[in-house]
Amino acid sequence: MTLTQNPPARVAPAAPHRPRAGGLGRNWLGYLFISPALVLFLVFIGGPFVVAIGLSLFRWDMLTPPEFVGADNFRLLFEDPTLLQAFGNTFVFALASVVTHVVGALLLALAANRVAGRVVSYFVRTAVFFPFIISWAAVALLWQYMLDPAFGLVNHYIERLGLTPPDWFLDPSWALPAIIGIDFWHTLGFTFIIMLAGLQTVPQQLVEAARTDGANRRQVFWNVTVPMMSPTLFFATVITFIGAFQIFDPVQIITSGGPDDATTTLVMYLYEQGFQAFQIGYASTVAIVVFVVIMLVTLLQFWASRKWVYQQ
Amino acid sequence: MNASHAGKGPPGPGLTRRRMLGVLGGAALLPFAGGLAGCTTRSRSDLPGGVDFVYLGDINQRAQFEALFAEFNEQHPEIALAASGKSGSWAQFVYAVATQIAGGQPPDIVQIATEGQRLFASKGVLAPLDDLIATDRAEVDEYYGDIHDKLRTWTQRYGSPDEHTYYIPGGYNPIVQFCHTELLDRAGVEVPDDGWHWDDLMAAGRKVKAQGAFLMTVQNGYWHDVLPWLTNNGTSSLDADWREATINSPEAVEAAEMARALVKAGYAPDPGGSYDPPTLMQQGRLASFHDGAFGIVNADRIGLTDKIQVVNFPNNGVHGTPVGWDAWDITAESQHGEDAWTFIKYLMSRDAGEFYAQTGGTIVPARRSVARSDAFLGGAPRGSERLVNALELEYATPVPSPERGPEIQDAVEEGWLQVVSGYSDARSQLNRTYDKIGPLL
Repeated sequence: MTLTQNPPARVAPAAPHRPRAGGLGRNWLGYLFISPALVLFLVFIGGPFVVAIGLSLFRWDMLTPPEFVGADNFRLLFEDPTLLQAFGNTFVFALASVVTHVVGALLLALAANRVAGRVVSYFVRTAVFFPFIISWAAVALLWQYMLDPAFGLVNHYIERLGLTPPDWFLDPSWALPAIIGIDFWHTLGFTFIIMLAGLQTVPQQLVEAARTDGANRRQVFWNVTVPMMSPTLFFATVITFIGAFQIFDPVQIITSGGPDDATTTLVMYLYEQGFQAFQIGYASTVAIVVFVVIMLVTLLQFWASRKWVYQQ
Repeated sequence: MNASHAGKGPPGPGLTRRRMLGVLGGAALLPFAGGLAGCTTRSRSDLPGGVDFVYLGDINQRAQFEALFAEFNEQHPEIALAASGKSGSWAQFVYAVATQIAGGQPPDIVQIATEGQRLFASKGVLAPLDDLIATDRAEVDEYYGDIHDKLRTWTQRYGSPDEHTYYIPGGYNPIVQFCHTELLDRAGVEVPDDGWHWDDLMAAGRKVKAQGAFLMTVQNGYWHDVLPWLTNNGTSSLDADWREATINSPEAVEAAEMARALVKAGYAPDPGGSYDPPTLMQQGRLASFHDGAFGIVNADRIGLTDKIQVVNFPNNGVHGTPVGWDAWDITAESQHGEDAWTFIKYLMSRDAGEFYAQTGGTIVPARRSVARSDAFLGGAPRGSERLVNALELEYATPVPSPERGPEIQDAVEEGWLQVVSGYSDARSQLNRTYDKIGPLL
């Protein structure tokens, strides 16, 4: 402590905490404000979740009376080879999605942040974000046309380069990468906006201090930008994984899980079991598995974040 | 007569599907319970009302149904009708109707195609029509006398798993080939009235390709693309009882190899694409496309009705076609059974058949007298009567649709696509498809 330090400010002592009388009655306005969100959550998330747990204990095709089967549906999980493949496909998709989105969006955000001129900057930001506001149905149809084996633009130009284009949605080794690519194009804009916002939180005085100390661009990026953006990177990683693990729309519209189950994801499989095979109980079991996996991976991410996320 | 009385009795005590929904729905909606305590609800049967008719179709077909209802209401102004069109695949349609039934809001009539007939009948959600048929025996017999007997016997065999009758068959759809005669003439390809033999198909494809066009399309739709190849080689995806898969039979393998050969030689566009065959024909890039009665509508749409000749699908010595047909039923829980039956009788009438055909129906009318009249064939491409006569073909085969039909359909379509796109050889892929289908039967 130095002599120049100000004396502690005089503040009134805090009033002793008293429990509020009336409880709900006194706070009804607060509850009223949150009630729309609470009701929506309970009806569309909490309620269905409880129902799904209940359904997972039954065999039910919706038309005949349900039959209580206990844990049979859970036992079936371990004997279902298609489920295993769906697991593999979903993890590959989610992993690829997280890596491509986080890296791609960060690089794009860094580039966009350096674009000179307000008009150009706005244009770039809008252009990158624009695909995200198009519905999945439209995106899927658009890319179906673009990648059509006979009449698609992409294959046309690949052929003009003298190369043999793949059958994007027919070749089992290309179908999942094609879906990953389409998802990247469609949802990159969202991660990009998050990264752009994160970049604004990097204190410029730290960047300038590092440069003053002789750090080059790469060193500034790795030692200042990335650590300061780590909470943003963590957030992007978590929500991208959660979203990617539930991928359904493009798979359902473009490949229906084919060819040869190469693009069958967990949610697609859940849909097939529930709405094509009419095995509502088993589909609910798969839904619970999806929930548990997402929860575990998210908890793992939070645990790991303590080692690499810099909390200011 | 109330159909609910004609059918099976109400479910016994225990956990019924409606009680199940009630319990689970109650859990989900618990938060609303207090807030909604003061509200009252009305069951569907309390509503003033009419016959709820559900069909698979999009908004475009609604206009046709509305017109049909208007015609019906001129004869029966006392019966109100409401049509609900549900779009999507048959599996999605069945699911939507099942949800409606499970939720205690059963429609009165479900117009259901071959793909869903066995499923619905086997679940006990339909009322037997035997008493109603007996009451109006003369009217029903007159109808049966005018439709092809195969329609009646197939509907009974495949759609009624017990001794009762649950369905009255409606219009049907086979597959035929719509050929662009001008383009084929230019290529020097003769169009046999009976359709091409597979032996002649490659030579025809070569000549058409020289004109910068494709001979035909090869895709993987179950009824539309796979079954025509199989039935024209004397086989199908399942046996006649729908108990055993035959998708890997030597005939099926041969059919798949033939379809693949067309693609490989460039006589058909690469499968898996999203092109529209009639549009390709309009652009002069396709010499023929195959379809059911919808092909007549498409021929008109692309303005080539006068230049199109309808022939049978290419064959390998035996002629065949898959056949799907609509059927009408009354749900077991319908509260308007008598009115529903009155409407079904109207649908069976010649008047209704003609009216529906004239408003651009996309299915061959069940009544031969209507199907062979100008109401259906007037303004159709030359040779369209082949659609009407398709039931006479040696291998006219009902679309195999056991209870787990949608899953089987998916497996067959997926396997076929792998073969015709060249990613698997026919024999091993169809063996894999056979293995997938086995547990579903």
